[in-house]
Amino acid sequence: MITFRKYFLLAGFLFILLEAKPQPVQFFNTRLGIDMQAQRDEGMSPLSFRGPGIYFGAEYQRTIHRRTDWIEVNHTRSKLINTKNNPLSELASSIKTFTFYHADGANSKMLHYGWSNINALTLRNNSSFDNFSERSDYYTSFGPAIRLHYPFSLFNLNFSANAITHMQLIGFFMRPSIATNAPKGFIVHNNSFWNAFTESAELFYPGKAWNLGFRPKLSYHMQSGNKLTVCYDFDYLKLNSITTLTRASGTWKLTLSARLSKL
Amino acid sequence: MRKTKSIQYILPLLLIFSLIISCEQAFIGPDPENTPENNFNSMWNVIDERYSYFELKGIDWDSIYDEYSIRIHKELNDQGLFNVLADMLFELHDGHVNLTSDFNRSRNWEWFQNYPNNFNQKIIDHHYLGKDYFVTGPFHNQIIDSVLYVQYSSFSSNYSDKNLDELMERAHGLKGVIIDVRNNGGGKFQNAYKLAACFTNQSTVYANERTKIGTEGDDFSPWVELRVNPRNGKQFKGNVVVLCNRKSYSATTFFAQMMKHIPNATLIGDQTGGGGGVPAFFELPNGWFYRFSVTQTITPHGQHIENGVPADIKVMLDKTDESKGIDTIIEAALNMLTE
Repeated sequence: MITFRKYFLLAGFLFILLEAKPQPVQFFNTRLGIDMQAQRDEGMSPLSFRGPGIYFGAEYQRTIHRRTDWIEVNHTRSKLINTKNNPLSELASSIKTFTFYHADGANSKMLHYGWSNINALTLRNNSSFDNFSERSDYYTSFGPAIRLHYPFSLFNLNFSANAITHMQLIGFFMRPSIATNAPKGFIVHNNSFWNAFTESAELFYPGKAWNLGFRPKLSYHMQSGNKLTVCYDFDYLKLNSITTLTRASGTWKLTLSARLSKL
Repeated sequence: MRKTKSIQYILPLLLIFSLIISCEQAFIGPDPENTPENNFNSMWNVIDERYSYFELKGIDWDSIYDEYSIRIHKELNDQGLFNVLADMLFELHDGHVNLTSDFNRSRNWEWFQNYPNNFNQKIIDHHYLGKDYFVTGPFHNQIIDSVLYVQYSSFSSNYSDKNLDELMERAHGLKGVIIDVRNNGGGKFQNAYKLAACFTNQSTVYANERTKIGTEGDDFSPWVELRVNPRNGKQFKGNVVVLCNRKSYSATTFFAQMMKHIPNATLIGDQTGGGGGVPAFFELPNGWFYRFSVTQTITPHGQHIENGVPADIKVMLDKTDESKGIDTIIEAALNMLTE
């Protein structure tokens, strides 16, 4: 009986708490896209590799009060070649978060300021090499982001134009050692993870590493509250280590956004 | 007023968008120009920073630059450039160093060319394998005088766990096993490891390895122990003899080194050809590939295996025996196992 009363009180408290807070506007977004990228990993070749890839991703977006944030998971599989027709395959995965602050609601026009966090892992395989054919990179970084938001109507249909720009300023990254894919701390098998990490990680800061992105996108807002978005996602990455990686990619993405909360 | 303000934002946006779209290559910068000089310098620099055996072999790579750079000029054609680069790589005296173009592959085969063959496949086929030998995956095997003779001619040839089970089953109850890896030029390290694991019942340190991690000559990782662990599956607990010659190279040298440290195994024949450095690959601005050693491997006692693993019992193929169709080295192994 006492237990029942406790549960009853807790449920009542939670109900009041949830009612007191503004209800968030939530979307679950799924994306498909086509990627075109160029890259040069001086650890394996002086030549650049270029080619297409297939992109897919998912995102959870939430707007509450004066803040919009989202977490997105991205995955790209690419087949690249260089000017001598030598091939390179690549798998790239990332988890990115964006947070923007806006004065009066998510649909307020003009500039929203915020920040972003990017955690990205890339694996490349050069099938022409019998040994040490794999190269990989990892970085975690934080930096400011700006969103230009412009909702408008055309032929009685609702649209919004967005452009997001971000630049990563601080974080860490890991590159392969000069000969092997493993970063130098991870070559020693009996090294503890922490020791291997501290021996391998390098500070991510402007000059040592660059990562910036630009995403213009156009969304059609359906009456149901769902959205259909076309986006071009440009990303530039440069990691200067014992060897340098430079990578630029442009991805055309089609996003279907399902609104999770009521209109 | 509202429209003017919108255009004020949208126009720069469209301008930036149109500039970056499909211009990924522009952000990467151009490839190095494909000239003889660029190709030569690219190769020399990469080897200078990454090759692992300069000190052991006493090679002055700077003087090699002086010697070969004077042979480079703008009018050099592909064949001429290949010859200069191949000659320069030959100075490393390393079987794991090759230059591969569309028309040729340079190599250094000094590690076996200046030594006796100690191998005659015809004799093995006629007098030891016979006509009714088993082909268990890549293992050609025959029971001779209660000993299982197994010939494995390339560690590039993969085998399954079932193949190993069958081989171990066939050896069960016999007096011993002979693994003939003469003329086995190497292949996949994993195939060497899995085979050696069939013959040990305890985790055994057989070598130490370190890898080039920086651009300076002594920038190596710490030495890392290399172990061979017992196989989870059927094993042979009896005596094993491994037959080697100078053409036993690379992964085969590693296999010989593993077996040398397994208590019930003996190496008979000539020392292996070597190849203790694992090769890494790189590409030239003209698209040719080359490879070179980036690791060092030493025995638990500190000797490099780059120039080979010595046999426990040195036996050379006797010319008189050979003329009679007898393989002196196989006979020595059979005698040892059947005594």
